[in-house]
Amino acid sequence: MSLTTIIFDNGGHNMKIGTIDSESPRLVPNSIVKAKHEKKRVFVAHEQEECSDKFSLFYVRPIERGYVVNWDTQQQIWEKTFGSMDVEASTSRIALTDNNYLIPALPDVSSEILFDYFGFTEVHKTSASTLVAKHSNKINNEKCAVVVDSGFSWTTVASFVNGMLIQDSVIRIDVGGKALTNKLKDWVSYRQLNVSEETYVINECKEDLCFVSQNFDESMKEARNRFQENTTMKRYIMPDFHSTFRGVVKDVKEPHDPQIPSIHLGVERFAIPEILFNPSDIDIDQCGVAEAVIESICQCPEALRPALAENIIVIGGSSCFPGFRERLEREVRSMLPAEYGLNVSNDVINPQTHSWHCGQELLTASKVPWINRKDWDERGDSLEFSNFFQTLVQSDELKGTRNFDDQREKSPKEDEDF
Amino acid sequence: MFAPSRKPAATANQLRASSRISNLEGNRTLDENARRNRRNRQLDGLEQDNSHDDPHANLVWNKNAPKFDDEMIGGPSAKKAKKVKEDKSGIVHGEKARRRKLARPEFNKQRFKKSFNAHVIEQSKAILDSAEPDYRRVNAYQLSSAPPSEKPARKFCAVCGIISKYCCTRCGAKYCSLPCRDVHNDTRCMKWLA
Repeated sequence: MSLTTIIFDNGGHNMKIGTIDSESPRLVPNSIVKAKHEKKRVFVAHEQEECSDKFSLFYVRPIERGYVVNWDTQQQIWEKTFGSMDVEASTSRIALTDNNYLIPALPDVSSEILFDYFGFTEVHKTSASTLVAKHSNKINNEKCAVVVDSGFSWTTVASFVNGMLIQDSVIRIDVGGKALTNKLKDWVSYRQLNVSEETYVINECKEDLCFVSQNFDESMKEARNRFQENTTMKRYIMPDFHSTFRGVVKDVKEPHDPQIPSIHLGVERFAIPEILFNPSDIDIDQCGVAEAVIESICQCPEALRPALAENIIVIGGSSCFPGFRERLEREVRSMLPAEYGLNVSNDVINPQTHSWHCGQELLTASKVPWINRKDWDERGDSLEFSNFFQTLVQSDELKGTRNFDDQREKSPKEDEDF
Repeated sequence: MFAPSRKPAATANQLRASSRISNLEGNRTLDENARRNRRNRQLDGLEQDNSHDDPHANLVWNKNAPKFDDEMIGGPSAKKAKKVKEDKSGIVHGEKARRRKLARPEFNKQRFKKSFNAHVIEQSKAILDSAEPDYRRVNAYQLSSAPPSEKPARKFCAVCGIISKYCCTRCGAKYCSLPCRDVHNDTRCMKWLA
């Protein structure tokens, strides 16, 4: 009997999981949630739907800054998820995304859990950006690709040639959906209503109301208008989780019930996604996503740059803001040399699940390396990275350039002055 | 809580001294170092998953038999589910021992938790010291950080979010108009909570 293949995109906010024959993946929250009103249980992964009252949720997340750091929490979440899908691990193999195979930073412990604890037969590791790039190379026959992954923990831009990562071109911006939601909570809590504990509700509010402005200065002028002429200001009626379960967007001119709590957003609607394009707006000393695309292309060999600019693919949940693609295209166009063509791909229907679908087509149509239990017992860590982390420049060629003092980012030591 | 303690009756000299000190305190400003520390704390707050305490931190699942070793995530319902699963399979495969080993009290986790950057640096050192180092994995996280933007940073009012031209002379926050300045002075300027 042939093995069942499971494709598992382990995102920081939602996991995208499904078998290779599925029509579309399931979206399962990658967190354990505790509620104030429910003292007798916690809600693991998809059980979050059973939580009736989503005020003041407390999240226990395994992933921090894009990497799994709490492996026992992650194991419990995976156990609950595999159990709900009725996965028989002994006759299955799994393709798992992990950001260590885009930017290696932490030890990868997942194989031990997948082989020893769950009993899978074979494992394939990759990252979401690599799946998209290899799909573009093998299915769409594009030689070069730039993948912009704007997710929950961060935003990365990486360039690939023939599906292989050009490691110098990887740019990491420490702004993702989590930072945007936290910043929106800060702003609303200071300006209107204390929502600092309402992560779930404000995250939904961000998804419903925020948009990327195509002309920031004009939007700022519009937001300064008086009440009657202001078309940016909207009112968001908070859900009460008895009769309403998701907030309602209304115009501020419509009458509303003062008993129901609500917030009105004006400047915040476009200033929140603007942080992705200008992190310096909130004092993060990094460039935005459009400048990162230019920087990534410029770090590649000269001959590849025109082809890279012709194939830019945007994925990730934080790129779902309306207008994100158009704004990125316009800004990158203004910074590219005039003789380069530019094409931001239109094929991404759902940026959240696009990498899963790319993995599905890739694993169906072409061969990828798998490692089994016996191979992993012999060589383990080095085998994984030599098989799954494919870069244009090999490790031996970097021997003289990597030493421990070569750090571009230095964490500042905090000396308390208060 | 932060009010200065009430002083006893004072002589004329002491009155002049305390009057001068209180005048000086009103003019205290944050220097660049303190402003940078405050910004770093605010940026670290963006990485927090929660801004409030664990609502289950002080729960006792069973008063008769308090459990200090097991992490009770999952609770009794998860235990029942596990029992059903074990009965179905009939063989445990050492799951209990492994689960107990992996589960640890959250208190210890939080207390001895290293920062993320310390984890990354430690891993880079470990790869360099290994028998066959993979140089692609050394410092990859630090090297991939985005460079600073070539455009100058824009300034926004901390109170209302509009483009701002003015800056608080004490703490460095931006404001756009006199009403916003007054709100800032009343609520956040030199306040410990900010």
